[in-house]
Amino acid sequence: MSAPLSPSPATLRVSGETLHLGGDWITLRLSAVADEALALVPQAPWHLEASDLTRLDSNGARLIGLLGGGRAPDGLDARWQPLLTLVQEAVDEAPARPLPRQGFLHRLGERVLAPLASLRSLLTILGQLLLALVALLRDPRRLRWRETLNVLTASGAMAVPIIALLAFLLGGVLAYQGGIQLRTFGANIFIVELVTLTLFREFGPLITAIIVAGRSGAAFTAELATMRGNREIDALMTLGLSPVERLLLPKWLGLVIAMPLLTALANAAGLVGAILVADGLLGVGFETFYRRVPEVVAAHHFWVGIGKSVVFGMVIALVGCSEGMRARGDAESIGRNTTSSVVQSIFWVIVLDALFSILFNELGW
Amino acid sequence: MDEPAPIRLSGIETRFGATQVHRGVDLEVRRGEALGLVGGSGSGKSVLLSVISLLKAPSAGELALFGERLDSAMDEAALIPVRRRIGVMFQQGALFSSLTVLENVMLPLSEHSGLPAPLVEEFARLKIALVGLPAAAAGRYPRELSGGMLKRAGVARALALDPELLLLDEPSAGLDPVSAAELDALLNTLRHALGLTLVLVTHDLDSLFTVTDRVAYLGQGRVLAVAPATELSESREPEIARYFGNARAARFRDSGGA
Repeated sequence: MSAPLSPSPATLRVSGETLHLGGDWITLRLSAVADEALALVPQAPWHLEASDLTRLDSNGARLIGLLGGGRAPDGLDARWQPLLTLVQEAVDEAPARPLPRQGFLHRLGERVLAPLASLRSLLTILGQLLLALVALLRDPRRLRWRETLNVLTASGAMAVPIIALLAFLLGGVLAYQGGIQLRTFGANIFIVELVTLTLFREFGPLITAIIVAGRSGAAFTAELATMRGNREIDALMTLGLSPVERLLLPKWLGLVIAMPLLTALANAAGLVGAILVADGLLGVGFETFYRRVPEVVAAHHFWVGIGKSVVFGMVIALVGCSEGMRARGDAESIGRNTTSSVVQSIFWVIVLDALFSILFNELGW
Repeated sequence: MDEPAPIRLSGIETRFGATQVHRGVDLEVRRGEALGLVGGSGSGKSVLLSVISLLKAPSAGELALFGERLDSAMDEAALIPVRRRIGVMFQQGALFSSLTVLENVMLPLSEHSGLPAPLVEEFARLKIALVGLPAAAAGRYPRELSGGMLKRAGVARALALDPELLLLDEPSAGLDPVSAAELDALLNTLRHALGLTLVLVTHDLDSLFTVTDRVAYLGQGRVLAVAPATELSESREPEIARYFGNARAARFRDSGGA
């Protein structure tokens, strides 16, 4: 149905030292002769004969130039001469040069230095945040209330359903796996300690941190990277406004407040999931949990988890902001830095969690 | 060769929600001519360019490219042969940021031409040379280029398949006068050597006078006048007179204040 581009494809015929060119030598018709022509280029210059040529465009002219070594073909229609000349001049002026290839050592060096650059940026942002925090403590009126509350809404309140649901399921799974083992020993009642301790100390803070890193850490990075691309951050600086104080500090404070609250929620939802499973599987129901949790689980276990979650919040916001401020703001870089932000956040959360385990063990908490 | 007009618009209407942008645009672009599209801001110049580049379907009216009637019900596969004959240069270049300039220009060639890789690269390098970019620019990423180089690279990619029709959205906007004049000269050279039909949206009076053969003035959702730039600038139509008057005045002010 579509109008044909041209009635005749390009043709190429070799006779002795002469190449006869015919048909349409235009880009979308060249594929018919491309391979053959390419094979003939090394023996260039050929003597060309082009009286049967019906159409020509710049790519066709370039191929003719390659075959003829810059000499015009015989019998070429005069109206194509200017095109051939223009193409030849352009190529002569800018000789094709192979792209500089990066050597192995170059790439190895880049790979090694890239994580160091990101660590450096992390420390820089941490320093700037701490300085801004000190300034804020000296003069609390500098706090950007509205921005901080926005972060609390977007990263805290909006995350409630997903965190509650996932923690509920996690609690159920925990009770189920633990319960099967305990039942074989007839130690059903200890499901209370098992579930509560693992939830409060480890899984509550961890699941919350992982979800928040994926939701909010990524959002911080993408937002800041786009702002950098639009030069909004530069605009703030020229207006004499501090991007750290207006953009980074609210995000950091917002997560520091939201994380412990979300973790407490995750603990509660996980406990509900665990109670439902324990009731069905082991006959250890709500009343038992209600009586036993305060009895056998010391309050400090809860606070250990909450304390960890505050640190996780700091790290997630820090990594999210640092990756965002480091991005160049083009489409590719936004994607790469957002990925890196989530991966790094979760990495640091788990590394810190391991360090906390050792620390608390030594302290006997 | 007796070939149909590259672009024929009749009664084109477009709307975004409740806002009607075009209320019956009639326009014919002749083969080999350079047509400028001008009009006040919000007059729908860029939208009209989107209609012609088959990015936005008009809500009413008829669009024919290269003598072929296109309607919005056509599926994308049927449009591809037409798209291959059109090159579009976007205002900011719209180069793919993850590809080098050379790869940007090679992309349409390797996707559509069916040519072997060495030829694709050769042709892409030719396009980069034709638009006056240094050979070293080929290996650079778009973020490493200046505004003028980005525009040239955008033209190089638009020309990759040697289209018959080149659509340009504000080619000289944001360029210094020297680069803008160079780009205008480049468009003129390419147009005559490659036999291109050009449609350009522009606010730059220098481009209008040096590049275009005719200028279409868009206003009130329609084409109010089509005439050579010199003729149009003498128009008695109040809206057109005001456009050229103000633009002129701005020019004198700029040159006086500089």
